[in-house]
Amino acid sequence: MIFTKSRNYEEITKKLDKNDVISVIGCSSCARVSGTGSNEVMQNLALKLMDDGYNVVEGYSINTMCTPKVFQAKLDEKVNTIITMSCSAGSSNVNQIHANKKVITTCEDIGLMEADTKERTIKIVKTYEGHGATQGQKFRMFTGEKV
Amino acid sequence: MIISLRNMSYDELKDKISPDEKISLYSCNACIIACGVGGLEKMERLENLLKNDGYNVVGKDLISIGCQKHLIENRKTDVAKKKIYEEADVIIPLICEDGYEGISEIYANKKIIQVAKTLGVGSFTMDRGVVLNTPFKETGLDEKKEGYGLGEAAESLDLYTDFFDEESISKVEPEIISITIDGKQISAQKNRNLLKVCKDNGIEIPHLCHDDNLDKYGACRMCLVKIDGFRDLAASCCVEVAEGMNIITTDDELEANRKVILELAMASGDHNCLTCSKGVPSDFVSCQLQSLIRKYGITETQFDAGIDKKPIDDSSDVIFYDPNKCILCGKCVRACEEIAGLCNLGFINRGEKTTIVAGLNKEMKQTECVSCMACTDVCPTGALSEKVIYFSGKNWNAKRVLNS
Repeated sequence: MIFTKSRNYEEITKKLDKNDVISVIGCSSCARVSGTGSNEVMQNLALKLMDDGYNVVEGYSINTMCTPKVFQAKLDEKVNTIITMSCSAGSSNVNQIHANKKVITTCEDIGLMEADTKERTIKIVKTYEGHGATQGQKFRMFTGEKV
Repeated sequence: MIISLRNMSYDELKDKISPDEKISLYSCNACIIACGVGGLEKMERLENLLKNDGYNVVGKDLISIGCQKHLIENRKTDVAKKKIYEEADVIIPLICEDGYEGISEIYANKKIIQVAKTLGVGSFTMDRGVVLNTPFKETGLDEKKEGYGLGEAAESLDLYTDFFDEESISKVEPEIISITIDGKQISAQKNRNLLKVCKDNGIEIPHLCHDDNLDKYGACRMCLVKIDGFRDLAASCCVEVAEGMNIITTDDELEANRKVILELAMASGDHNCLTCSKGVPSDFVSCQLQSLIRKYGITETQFDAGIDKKPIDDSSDVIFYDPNKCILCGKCVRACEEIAGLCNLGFINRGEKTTIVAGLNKEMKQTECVSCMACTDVCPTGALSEKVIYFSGKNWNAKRVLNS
């Protein structure tokens, strides 16, 4: 599985415009386990954006956005901006399918993780450049907090 | 998904093992399949190749998702699986480097040979198949918008896109026998499963409880055929072909039986496609029961439904369970036991009250389910399905999408 971390809220809003019609697509597979794509995290982001005056019209939670299942998100025709809450592969899929829309990702790939449902923890097994310090570290499942 | 490619030739693999060693094969049933390195079929091919070369393969095991440590640990105590690992001197996992971490940690006293190199994160696209989107720095590949096809990545990194010596495998001559199916003479590999032999030859026998990744079961009785010399109709999913077999796969009696089975299935629950997540077949989900009912032109059932509504389980974040759409084929129970290695699903009650429950009849979320999706992948109806959630409104209300 792929471990991701959420980007700062400001980093996301920097790329948004108040006129954007936004759909949020979250991945209920690895990103959910990492704590970056669950229904609650999606809801928190959407409500915060709405409070701040952004036009978030809908959202989809899809299992494995890195596969063609991402087509299951049948977007409202008015949507011109998509916020993806998934690893880079899920975002890449959305980018490819919706090439005419603005796609903003809220997650950054940290590396590969091994999940331990008994302990409810995640261990980082292999990291991307710049995240070597997390190698071998453990995080809580579904929140991504450091153990 | 995690993108990995085979990193050694068959000769290099053989250099690492000796004919005296007991070998177990182990494969993940997730990303690695799309990369062409894993899955039951590939594992069986490697098993045949090694056995033909005189190596001692003592077992093989398919795991639904190899980066779930809990599932690997369970194998140490699982009655049906622990022997596969205990006996082995060598384990050859068809798995990415992420999954390798778990198996090498849990079976630290065994020789474990990693046959795949993990390159990074990628996606499965409709037009290009598997694409590597975000390579690890160590690969030396730069990130590019369109990503790398597996062939391109393999060429750049001197890795393999095909499976171990596919040409050599095809050179090993299996014992071929002659059988007759529906009056037609057919050559088939001795002891091959009859249902598969029929499929190989373009003869589709309807079935609901069979899955290539699971052990033979013979519960649904849809695949019953007539075989000369057999006292009664035989479930083709449980029969191995033998020289001279004469098989009838379709006639009026068999088709009438199949219609009755389908009508009984219809009467056994609430199979209303309008309220089912698998109601509209798509590339991602399709209902095998619906497909067969349409194929057989069944519009109503002669049997009384007359059963109580069973409670729906919507507790899991990712799995939706509607027992009213269950036909008790047992596929999910077997997938949870054989592939996940959890035994988290099982039958309870008897007769028309029989149902499948998670854990000790708890809600899915309260059980040790790890959401590996082994059960939803095999369910032939809308009983167990992956959730797609739609959010809308000023409160961002969540609603399960019936079909997308």
